[in-house]
Amino acid sequence: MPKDKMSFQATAGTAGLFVVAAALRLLLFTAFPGLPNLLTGRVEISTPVTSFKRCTCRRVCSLYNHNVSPYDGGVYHQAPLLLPLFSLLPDPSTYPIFAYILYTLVDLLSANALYKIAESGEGGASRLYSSPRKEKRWSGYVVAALFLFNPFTIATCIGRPTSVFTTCAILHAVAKALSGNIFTSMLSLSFAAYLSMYPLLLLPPMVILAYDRTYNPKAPKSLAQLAGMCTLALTLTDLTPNAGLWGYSPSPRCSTASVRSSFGFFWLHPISSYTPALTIRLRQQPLAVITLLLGIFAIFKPYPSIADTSLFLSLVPCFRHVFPLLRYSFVTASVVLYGTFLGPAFYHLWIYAGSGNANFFYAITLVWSLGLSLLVSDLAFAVLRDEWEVERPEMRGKEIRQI
Amino acid sequence: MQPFSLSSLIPLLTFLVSFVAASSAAPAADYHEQLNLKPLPQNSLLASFNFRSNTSLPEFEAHNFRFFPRSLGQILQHAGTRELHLRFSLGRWDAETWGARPWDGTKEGGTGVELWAWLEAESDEEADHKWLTLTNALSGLFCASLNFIDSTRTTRPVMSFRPEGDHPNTTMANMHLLHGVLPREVVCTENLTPFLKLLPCKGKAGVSSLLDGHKLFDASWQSMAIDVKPVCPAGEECVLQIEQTIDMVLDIERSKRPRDNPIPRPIPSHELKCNTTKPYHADDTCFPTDSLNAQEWTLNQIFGKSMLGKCPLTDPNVPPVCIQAPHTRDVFTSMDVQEVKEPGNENQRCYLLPSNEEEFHLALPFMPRDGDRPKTDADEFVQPATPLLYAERSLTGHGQEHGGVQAILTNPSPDAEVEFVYMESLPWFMRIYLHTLKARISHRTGSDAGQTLRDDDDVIKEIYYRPFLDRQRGTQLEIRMKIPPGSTVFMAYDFEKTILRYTEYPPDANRGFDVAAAVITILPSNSTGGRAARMSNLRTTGMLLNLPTPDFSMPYNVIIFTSTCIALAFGGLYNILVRRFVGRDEGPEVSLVKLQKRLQEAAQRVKERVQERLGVAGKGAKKVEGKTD
Repeated sequence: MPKDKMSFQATAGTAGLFVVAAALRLLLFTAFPGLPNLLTGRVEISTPVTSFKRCTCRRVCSLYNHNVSPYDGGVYHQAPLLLPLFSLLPDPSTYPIFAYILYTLVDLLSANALYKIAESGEGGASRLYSSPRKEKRWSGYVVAALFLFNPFTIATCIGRPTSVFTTCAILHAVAKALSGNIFTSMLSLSFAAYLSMYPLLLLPPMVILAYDRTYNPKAPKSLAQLAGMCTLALTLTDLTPNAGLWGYSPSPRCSTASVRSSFGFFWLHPISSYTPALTIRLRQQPLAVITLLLGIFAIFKPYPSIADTSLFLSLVPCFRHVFPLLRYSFVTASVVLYGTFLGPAFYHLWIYAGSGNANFFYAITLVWSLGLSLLVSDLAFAVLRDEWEVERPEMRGKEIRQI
Repeated sequence: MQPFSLSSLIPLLTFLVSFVAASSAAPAADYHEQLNLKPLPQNSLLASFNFRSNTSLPEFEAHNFRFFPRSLGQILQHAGTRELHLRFSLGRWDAETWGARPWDGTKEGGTGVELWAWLEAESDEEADHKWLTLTNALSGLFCASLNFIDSTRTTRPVMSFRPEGDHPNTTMANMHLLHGVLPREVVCTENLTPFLKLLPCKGKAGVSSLLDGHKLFDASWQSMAIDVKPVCPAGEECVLQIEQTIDMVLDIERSKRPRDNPIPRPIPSHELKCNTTKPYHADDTCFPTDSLNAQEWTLNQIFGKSMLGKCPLTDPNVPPVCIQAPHTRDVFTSMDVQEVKEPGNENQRCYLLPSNEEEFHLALPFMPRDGDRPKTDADEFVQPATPLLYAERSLTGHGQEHGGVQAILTNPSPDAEVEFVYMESLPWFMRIYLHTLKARISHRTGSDAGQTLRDDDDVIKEIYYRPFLDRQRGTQLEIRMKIPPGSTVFMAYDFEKTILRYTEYPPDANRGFDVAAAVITILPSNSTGGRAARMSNLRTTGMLLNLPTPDFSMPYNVIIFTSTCIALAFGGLYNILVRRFVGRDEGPEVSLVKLQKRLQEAAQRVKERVQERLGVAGKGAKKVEGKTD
């Protein structure tokens, strides 16, 4: 799609969409006053590092009031930058509406960024690569709607974990990189990395994306400019003192998926090894690399939650053109739905009813992870096959194999 | 025998004066022991044993321990301990029935083992090191798991404890208070034996000869305490004092059960004591009466042993046995025993024993409740004093994810307010949320009587909070509160339960985890005077916390499944990334297809061969040779 056609302004249709989405969220917040606290307590939404309950103003302030550093204890693991944000919020137990509005706004900002990403058409056509199927794509309106009305996104918004800020920052980093605004993109990415560290692994594909977008054969200086921006991202994250958290999570401790995370060592390893592999193999499609990496984070990250899944799922519709190439879409969808419904049920059986043991929940987390990994590898396959068909247009629709 | 020669010099007239002096804090003699018996309502009996010995500080430094137990003294010297308090407790003090606690609660501990000490050290690290030495040495001495008091169970209380001894200001500056609790420890006979060994008479004579594990640990409530502290009486040399105390509340009926037939049998229905005032009372229904029986017991019966005279080392001026009962209560003792009554306290009777080694007997006979001179409860026991504060604590909530703790603190006094420090040391796997700490108050008197009021944070004056660190230290919470007269405060906070590592669960993980009792220190108040003039303590009961448990039967299956899952996810993606796409009929043949072809060829060959065998043999062999290379 030509650049001049790209409209970054929300049209009347999207404005209507945003209003409906915001109204739905505020309705859920106000019509079911018990729902936010219920969802805040759910392990699928709140992890030890993102829990809203652990970072409310009152809690942090009460620590301040008793002359205790909030980090001198095992409860608060969030980034220091969130402290002033939450202390600006009025006490959520008396004025919850401010927190509701904040989280709704963050969701809308994310949706707006996603709208821009989808409208840019980067999924189907990047600088070095143009898919033969690129005409088959969803508009930003549909992609934003799929994000805003995704039950995972809504549940995350109402559960109010701090991961929505990371989601928003990552989506904005991508959107700004697409619009060629490298500085803002790197700033966004460093903010995301500052909040939860692992988005730092998105730096290589993000740099490539920004480089592709600002590439101008007549002005080679942009590369140096880019390098300068990368150092910004790196130095900003280096300065942050949340290494405590990072040193904390690999130490084997049990979180929601009880026994699973006691292999904390194993989790960091695959995550970082995927970045170079995907970046090199899919050099021509940086947005696909980012999407696949986000999917891998949702599986392998320490303390995964459905917020990570919803971020991954929000970028998948940008690849509408490869959907026909997916091989296991039915199996994946069934497994994810299976995990979605049985996960909370099995958790209840284990923790509250006492009629099931830890293995119930453990098994369903395995199923969930397998379902997501199937989706990630299937998407990788579809994107690669799409790329291959540029070289071999005659193979379109034929059976293939890999050697 | 120095004490004997001294005692012969003291004239009889000054006897009472010296007795009063001995019972107050001033240590006149080197060793003293006493048993205080106090009948309580509902057929209970409080027996308080107190043993106290002194040694002067210079002699202690010179390793001349005299009555001070050498084994303990050497540990204290080695670990630089200036003051030591050790408690072994079991059961629950029923404050509603039994009233105020013995010794104002200062000589009791929470369920299990509790230890706190002031150590002299230059730095926190040195104090920690000495604490480790002390706990390990005491663990060996008392056959208790005190060595399990590690950093997660150790706290440094800020407001709750004060040194009880007289310490010079120079050492005060370097003293570190450390406090540790083992709520899970089961106190048993193996702890009593070393306790008795520390006594000069070692349970062979004197009041300590009554102590028997079978009765002590069968009591409704018992607390064994050891306190070591330096005491400097005015104008005298400083001494190091060790005070050993055993308090127990015996259920008289249960204690009287014979040793050879200890299994309780159901009472025949015609012997049941029923409350006939109940409307549903009939031949087949019975509501038991409150006062089951008039108390009737002898010392031999309830302790299962008789007292073997008095300890020859004890201060002869201190009566070894005292009983606190109304003066109308009949008490019989063996011959040659001199009854002493303290002038100010007419409910107390003490017994001076002759110096021969005859057994001492004490009997409280049956006093009929009917007849010409019927006796009442008031003749049986002295009505116990109302405690300054009632406290109870319980877990709230359901499920194994979140929970809450509620403490109910009642000030029964109609006119005096009570100020105290409430201290909790919680294990790290109880992640408490301080911002959920709420206090609600309900007044029994005044304009808003009976109503549960809104949050009243005025009750809480000061909070000291040290949050937990996973696997390193527990939560320490100290709250100074002031409760107005006749009010009840409901204090509650929420916590989150943690899933532990597989190896951190005890063998019986589904029993739950013991949480130590909350220590309440009632601060002395100047306004009321009298009873509240000194610091007193009480402790709530422990709690049993249920944590979610993993399936202990399959840790290795979990490792295998998880690894398989990772391998599938990684392998699937890796396969797609590194391999090339080709059409189905292009590229080199896959081994499976190759194998299939080869098998087909082999089958073909065999077929041909068989056909050739049937036909011409020579030609066939040549043909096969050509094909095999």
